[in-house]
Amino acid sequence: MRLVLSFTTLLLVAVIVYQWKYEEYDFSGTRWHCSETQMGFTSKAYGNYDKIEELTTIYFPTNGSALYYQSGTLTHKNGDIEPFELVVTSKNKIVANRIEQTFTSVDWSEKPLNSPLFIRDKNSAVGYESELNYYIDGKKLYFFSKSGSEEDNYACHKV
Amino acid sequence: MKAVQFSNLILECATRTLRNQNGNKVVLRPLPYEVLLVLLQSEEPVTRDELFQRCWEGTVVTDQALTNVISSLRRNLLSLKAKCVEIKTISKVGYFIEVDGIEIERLPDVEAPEDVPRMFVDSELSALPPTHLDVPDSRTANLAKLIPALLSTTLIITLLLISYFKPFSEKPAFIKKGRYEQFALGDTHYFFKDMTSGFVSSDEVQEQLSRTIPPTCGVDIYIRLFPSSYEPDKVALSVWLQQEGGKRNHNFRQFAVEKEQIATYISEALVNREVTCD
Repeated sequence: MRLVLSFTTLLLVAVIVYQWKYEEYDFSGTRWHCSETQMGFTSKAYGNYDKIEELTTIYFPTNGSALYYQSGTLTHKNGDIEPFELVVTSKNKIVANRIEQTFTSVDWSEKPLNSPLFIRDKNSAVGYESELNYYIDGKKLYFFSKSGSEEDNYACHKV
Repeated sequence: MKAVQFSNLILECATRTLRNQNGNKVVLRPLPYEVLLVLLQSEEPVTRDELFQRCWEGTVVTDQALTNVISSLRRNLLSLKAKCVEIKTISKVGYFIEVDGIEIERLPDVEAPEDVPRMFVDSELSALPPTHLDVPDSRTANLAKLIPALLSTTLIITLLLISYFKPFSEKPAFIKKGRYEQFALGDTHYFFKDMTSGFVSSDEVQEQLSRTIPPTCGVDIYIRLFPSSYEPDKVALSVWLQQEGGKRNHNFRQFAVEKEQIATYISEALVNREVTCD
């Protein structure tokens, strides 16, 4: 009995340490929807926009890569609405609860021609590296940073 | 067959097994067993000669043989966590076992090994003086066996719960409900956190929302106010909408906040393709 008790205690400690430090999610083959609206822009570049709505579908063909299908609309302050659609690809590395991404390409399916700065900003993602923490709760995926920066807090859900 | 109980130990004569109340046991070799019994029988120090005579039956051996046997018995008592039992060396005399109480007990018959010493028969053991004992009763012994089993079961259940609920995975702070001020307006649940230095109070926000958002919205609305990362002296707002009991969610960001317009921003946040009021 002492042996069983010792073994179970060791197993418990091992599971806690594994969950805490090493457990990683297998993203391969999963799709996630992330929906976002941005308003109240303060910068000059985005001051012309009233609202930017964006729906991103993240598809992970493997744990090491991802495709971001982004579509949405840019609502100008004068009431004009421009749709946009693009695909961003990334190389990923997943280590425990961290996802390291390097964005490798941006391909436009529909460019918002009256928004050159928006196009430029999206294109500048190529070569950009990001490191975020992720947390999965059932069918919900959350991104966040260790520093707790509000800009990195992002919620998605499984498709 | 008989057993000798002393302190928290039981010495089963048939099998030469010395066990404690936790069920830990040591099977004694014939000589240590005999020496222990002789010491237990005597209320006075036993001389080395007497021990040689009774246990070695006069065979010529070195003094070291007895010293080794006493040492091994002391180790056995230590390993069994014997309480108030000590084999004392009486200088120039021999050995004496100091023990709280000794009692003979009749145990269920156990098949005796062939090498049980003849010299300790039941009648002789009966001569040992019965006294008070520290040995726990059978209920205590059963409890001692039950505790590890209960502990093991508890550990296994904990293990399963941990594997399912993953409480040790790092959760993002913004989804922890306990970090928000919570209030409900009808069926709509609000979670409010102001990370600025008192830009707006929860009561003011409630007041605005009660006039704007339908109370039957059925959405969990997480509102966070924080200093703008881009414009000093400006306050930004994040709203995270979570479909109640579902998986769908929506993120909303307002980069410059006017405190009287918070309910308007929430209304704007609710205009999206993923999470809307029912």
